[in-house]
Amino acid sequence: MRFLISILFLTGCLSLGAQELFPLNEPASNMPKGVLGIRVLSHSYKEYNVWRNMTGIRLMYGVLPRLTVMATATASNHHGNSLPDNLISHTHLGSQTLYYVPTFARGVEYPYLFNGIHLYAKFRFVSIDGIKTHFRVAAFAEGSNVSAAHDEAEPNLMDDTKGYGGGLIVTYLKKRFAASVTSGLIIPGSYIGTSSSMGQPLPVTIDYGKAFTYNLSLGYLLLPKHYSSYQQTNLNLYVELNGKSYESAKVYQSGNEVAIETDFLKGGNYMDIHPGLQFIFSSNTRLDLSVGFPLIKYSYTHFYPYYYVALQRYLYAKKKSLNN
Amino acid sequence: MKNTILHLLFVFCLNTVSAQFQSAELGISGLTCSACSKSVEMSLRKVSFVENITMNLERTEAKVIFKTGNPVEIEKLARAVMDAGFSLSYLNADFIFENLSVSNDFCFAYEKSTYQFLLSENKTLSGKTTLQFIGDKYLSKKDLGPWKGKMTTLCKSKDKKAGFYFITL
Repeated sequence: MRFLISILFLTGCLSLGAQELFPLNEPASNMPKGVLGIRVLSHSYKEYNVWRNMTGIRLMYGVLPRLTVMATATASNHHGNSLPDNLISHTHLGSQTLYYVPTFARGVEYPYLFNGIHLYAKFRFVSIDGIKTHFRVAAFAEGSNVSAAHDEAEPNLMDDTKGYGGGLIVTYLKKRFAASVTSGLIIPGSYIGTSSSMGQPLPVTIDYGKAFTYNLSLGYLLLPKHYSSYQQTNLNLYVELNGKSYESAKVYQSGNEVAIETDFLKGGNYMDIHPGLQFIFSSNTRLDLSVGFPLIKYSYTHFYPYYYVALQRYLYAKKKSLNN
Repeated sequence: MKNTILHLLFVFCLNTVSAQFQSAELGISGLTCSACSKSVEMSLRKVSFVENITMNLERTEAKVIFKTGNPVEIEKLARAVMDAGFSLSYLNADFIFENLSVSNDFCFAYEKSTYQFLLSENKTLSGKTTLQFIGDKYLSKKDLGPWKGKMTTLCKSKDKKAGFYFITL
């Protein structure tokens, strides 16, 4: 929290100028029309003795000056091929058998699996530009065909759950300082699979909770102090607050809903803080680094610190030598 | 009725100028980073009549040199900046005149486009002259405001492909 206050103070006092190329959240601005971009990204965290990782490759394209589309393919070792064994337990009450989901093990080794494809489109519909300043608003929609054996209520479209979503992005940029708010809904699909019980695979369906997201991203251009050439390396500082509220999941075994006794599958909310650094080389190649910590409560879908690294470049269709 | 007569007079008496644009200076709004500036430059470089560009990263301005002998369509410069995700705060272009007397609403044709002056006094133009383009693609809303009441189109061609521009000195 003290770090966040320091950053806010720094950006307030030194507002000479800014960056909105946030590592984790998209700004309301778009890619240039007709330009293709590529990003390789990786999220990692340590879950007890197991390092979890999701790696993705993203293609981005500026369809129109106001419309950007993206497709991200990801692979991770977050899940097994099927739900954890003995996901559903039971107890007897007289002649009744009561089924429930108890807390299950963490830190289990899983293989790397291809998750699926995540599609994203962003349309900017408000642009108020001024000299070294702008205010922009965009709407976004996203969808995913990921169908991992995800065993928490919280939906994540890129690496855990199929489904779709959408929302709004409002970005303000003034000289070196940029601020952006992203808010949206996630409507996840269901996972239909199996969980073994005493060696017997039993059909299980999980309906994940719908989620409401609310993110605040702040950026500050630290270097260079003065632009003189495209070859100057840019250093940007970021702080991103990513919050999410989500409903409880519903778990069905052979079509019958079972009680949930674990927090993993119950509704909740949390906010993470992700301080980050960004280097931009030759005004194009972008290296993003950030690390996330829990700020308010915490997520059950990842551990902390939550590391993020990405490398991105725009591929301009027509290349001519630049003067600067 | 008065406007229609004026319009016809201007169309029939339109001055054709054979000189051409040499260069332009563009003020880019909404950008602060060199990566964004590079995107603008790469977008401008796609324009067929652009020979060279010098970007001033600190002032977010572009100096564009045109190819000689190629028809210049100023609107394509504004479109290129918009394609990169930004907008123009001004666009000034240098044009060579040979003793041309101009007044308010004076029109001339160059290549396939028509240009209409917005002036407060008569002038004789000779040699390299900087023309400022007036319109929502070339100015911020704030800077366009004072011009709006003066922008009465008198000499626009009926050819939809032909360009039409308001200019001032």
